[in-house]
Amino acid sequence: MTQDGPAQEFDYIKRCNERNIGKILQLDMQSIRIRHELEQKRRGFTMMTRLAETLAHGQGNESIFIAASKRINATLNMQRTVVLLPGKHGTFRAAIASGYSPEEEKTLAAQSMAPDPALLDPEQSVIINGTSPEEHMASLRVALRLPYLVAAPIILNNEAAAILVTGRTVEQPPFMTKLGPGDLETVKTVSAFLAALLAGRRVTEAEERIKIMLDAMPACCVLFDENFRPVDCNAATLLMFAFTDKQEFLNRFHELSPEYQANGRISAEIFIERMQKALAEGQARFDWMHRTLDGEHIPSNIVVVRAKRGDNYILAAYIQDLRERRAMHAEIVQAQMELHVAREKAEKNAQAKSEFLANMSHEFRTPLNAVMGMAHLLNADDLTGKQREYVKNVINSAELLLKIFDGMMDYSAIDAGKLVLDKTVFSPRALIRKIVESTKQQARQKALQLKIQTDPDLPDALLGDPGRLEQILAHLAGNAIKFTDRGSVSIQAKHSTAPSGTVRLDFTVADTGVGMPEELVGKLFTPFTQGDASLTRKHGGTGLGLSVSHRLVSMMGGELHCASVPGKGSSFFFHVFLEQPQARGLEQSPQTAPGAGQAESGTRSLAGMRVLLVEDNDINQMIALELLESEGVAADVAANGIEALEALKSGVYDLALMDIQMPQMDGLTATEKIRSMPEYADFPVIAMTAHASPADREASFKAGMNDHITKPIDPQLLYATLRKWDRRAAF
Amino acid sequence: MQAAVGYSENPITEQAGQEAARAALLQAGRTDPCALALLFSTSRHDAPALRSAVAGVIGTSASIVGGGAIGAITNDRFGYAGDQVGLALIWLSEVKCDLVVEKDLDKGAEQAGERLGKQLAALEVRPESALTLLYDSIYHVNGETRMVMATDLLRGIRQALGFLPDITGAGLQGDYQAGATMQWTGADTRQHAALALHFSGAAQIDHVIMHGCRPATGYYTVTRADRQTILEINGLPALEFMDKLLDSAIAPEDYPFFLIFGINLGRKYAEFSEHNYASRLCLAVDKQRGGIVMFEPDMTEGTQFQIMYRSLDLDYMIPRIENIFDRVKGRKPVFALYINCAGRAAGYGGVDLEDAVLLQKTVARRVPLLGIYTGVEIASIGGIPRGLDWTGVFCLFSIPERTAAT
Repeated sequence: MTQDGPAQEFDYIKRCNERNIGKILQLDMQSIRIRHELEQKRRGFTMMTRLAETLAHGQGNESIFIAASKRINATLNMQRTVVLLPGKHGTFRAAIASGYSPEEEKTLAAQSMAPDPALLDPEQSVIINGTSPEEHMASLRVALRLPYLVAAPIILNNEAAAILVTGRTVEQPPFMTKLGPGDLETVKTVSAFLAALLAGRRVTEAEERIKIMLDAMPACCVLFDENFRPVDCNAATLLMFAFTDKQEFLNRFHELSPEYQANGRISAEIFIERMQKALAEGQARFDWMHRTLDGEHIPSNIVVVRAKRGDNYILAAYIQDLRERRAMHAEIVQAQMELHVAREKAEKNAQAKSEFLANMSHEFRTPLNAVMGMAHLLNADDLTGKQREYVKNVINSAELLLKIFDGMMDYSAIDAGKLVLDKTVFSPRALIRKIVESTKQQARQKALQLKIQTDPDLPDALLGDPGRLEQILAHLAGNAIKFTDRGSVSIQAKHSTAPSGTVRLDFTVADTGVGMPEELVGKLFTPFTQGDASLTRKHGGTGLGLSVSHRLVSMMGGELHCASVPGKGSSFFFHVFLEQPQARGLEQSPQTAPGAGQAESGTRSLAGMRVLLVEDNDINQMIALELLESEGVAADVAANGIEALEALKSGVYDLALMDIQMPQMDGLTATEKIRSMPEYADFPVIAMTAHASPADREASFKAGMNDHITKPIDPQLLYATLRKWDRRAAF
Repeated sequence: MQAAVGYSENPITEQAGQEAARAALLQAGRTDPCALALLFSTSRHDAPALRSAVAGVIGTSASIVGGGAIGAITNDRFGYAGDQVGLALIWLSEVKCDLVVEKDLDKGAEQAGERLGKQLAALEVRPESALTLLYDSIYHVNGETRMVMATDLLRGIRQALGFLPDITGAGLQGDYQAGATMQWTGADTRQHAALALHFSGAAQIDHVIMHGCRPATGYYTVTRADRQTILEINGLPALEFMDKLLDSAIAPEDYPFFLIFGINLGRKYAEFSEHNYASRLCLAVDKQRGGIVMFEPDMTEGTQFQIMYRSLDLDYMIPRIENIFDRVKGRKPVFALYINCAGRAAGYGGVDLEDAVLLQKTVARRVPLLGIYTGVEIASIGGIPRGLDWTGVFCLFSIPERTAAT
């Protein structure tokens, strides 16, 4: 047998063949591995394609992760996939889990994990398989119940927005192979894809929000590229220019301006200039005339703003349609003109009303002065009892008429806002004493007790309008006496300090009179209402007094109220707020010397006094002369201011009684001229006039007069005023 | 008899069932209810919910039969290891189809097979009868995965019938991880069931096996075996023998799902003929005993086998499929069922081209096609049905032309 025979050859071939089979299978194994890895890649790409299709429309981030995790398990032959989302303080939580039982998912969701830094670094490779040490990322593996895993972060804006973890619970080649770089590569690709999807979603959402904002914006906005071509606009722009198609608007944008602007320049040239300015400087603002395709002009104000977009710029032009604004402006101007005309008319009306009131006052007082004056003169003569009674009635009626008229004037003045309260230092005690003096006779006549009660520490001096306070108290006290047939009338005054530092004076005027039912109390302060018509007939009155008192109290910051019980009596109580003189830096001492309007009472004789009577009205002259002569006062008459000045040059007088309204030279002018003469600087000049308003009084004092008494003349007041300004006693 | 197929990869079970059912109905162009629905899906879907979804579309009168599959193939779509659902709707008309079901496979495959065989006997199944057998190939005991052997099941059927009819079928599996899977058995959904569809009347089922494996070596003999574990080859411990044979080119850890043995059921040294070879795939290695565990326990002592290598191109499939169509000339092909070993999927099989793609291209629109990726394939080799590995079994249902109009 040879060594190279057929049998040896057969053995040799057999051995070669058997060695070859090993090689063949080895190559086969390699190709299986390569193909498997390719299959993983292919599946990964197919999955991403399917995800992109499925998630094309508006789902939230979580739905992206849910869809991805389910598909990863199915497509990449993984058993479990988890998406970790950032929680608090750098921890992560398993927000999405696929391949777990519901109980396992609950357990997972409750856990917070502090991830290994490698999980957050896209440059790092996280592959845990059967060859990895047990302690490597042990806590994560235990927490996720995933012994074999690959992980990759999903990076958005350079931060880990999520961590994608996927893996297997067993390693079972060839189908559940050991996880390796190929698997990680696929998962990283999926992570990058998801990151791109999320970023794209963010951009889409941002674009949608911007679009919503732009389209919801009432202002028109057109975007231009760096070549000044319009590239986009919002809904308001289309509306303004009456377009329905955006592209058509953009295409025809340059037809939407007239050839020339208002300044005569070509629109296209100015457009380029303005846009270049905006591009260079960041902003440009200018007026512009647009027009619609129908030719309607649209005056506009435009602001063009430059904004960065990647490496380039865009220009955003905000167009404000001025048509409405200009129309509104024209309307405003028109309304203002009408308002101005109306105000002038109202002011003229008010002025006319004021002048009417002033004239009414004067025209009423002048003849009434004659009536009352004559009545007083008549009363001084020898009369029979009946005649005296008649004269008394005439005087009473005239006084009442005057009172009514004064009430009406006051009400009108208050209504017109023309009544101004005085601010004078006065003594509350003196005021009350005066009220008592003026009412005690009336009370005595009706056998009524008059009770007065004041705070022992009532302030000595307060700043206010004593005249009006007196008017209120006198009216209330007068009413109390009028409507009480038996019993008493009491006047009470209290004070307290208000939080503002002012003094609050509380007055109460109470009576034991007829009283009135509650429903009438409510009507008391309404003008021309007296409560009970029968009482009106019995006691007279217009019902203006309470209304005026009510408003005067309001003007003093207080309130006037009434409480009444029919058959038992009524109480009127009010409070006012008054300043303390020291708060104004004024002297505390009230006027002890008689001030304006405060005449000197007493019986000092006026005989021998020389008075210059300046009066144009014959009847008033006669009345005044009679009154003066009855007291022994010698009087010369001047019919106007000029005659008065002449009289003063030639005569010597102690005092002048000066009417205001006179022909040729009125009393105010005459007084100014008197005062301009040094020798007559201190010469007493007393206004004796039917001009009775506070403004008239003010005018008198401003002209230089010393005092101001009003017609109809009250003889006692006249005499008291003469005594007051009688300089003979001083020498 | 008419069939129509539908497919879905929707991860939402309800939608997947509805999509597949609607696609099939659209293809059929019929509004009357079908008699039979063959339904297969991966184990990612909830089996009862999937059944409900399909029944919601096709109606409740159809018998829904099927179970887990690792993937599905239709005329224009395929996929595996995902959310695949494959469905075939069948209107029987002149064809009769009896369904028999047996449960408790996990308690003994042979016994279940015997009970199944008895039911088949009652139907007067004959050796030439066309049967499609589907069974749950996976069960778990104390967390351990066990396989139901086709060999045992078929043995039981043979014992009951006295013969084995022409059976094609599959050991069903829902994923590559051998997870638990469910079966639809007509009106129920259950586990560990075996079901047989007996098509009689005008129906004829022709089939061809394709594996593309060729012998790379001479013959070796199993000298000791313990059920599916080959303990010795040619007198040497199996692992040792193999390692030596392969010159340690492949580590034993890589043998599972890779190493293929071929059993030639034809003449030993005749020209290679694919349909004579039964492929046997290594399931695992038993390092303790130095053994190689196979998918089926039929490599008993004395079995001669060869090491096989796989073809990296799939051209072998085209002539075999065309041959089937030629065989049924004069009849009307109405439905094609392709039972494909899941290991043949290109992603795991290492080939460039998916055999599903070639299959679709070859079948084209000639007949509605439903394919499933399975764990075990059953088909006749040498006239005897057996469990096969790494094999694609192409079954073509046909009826006489004169009845095609129904």
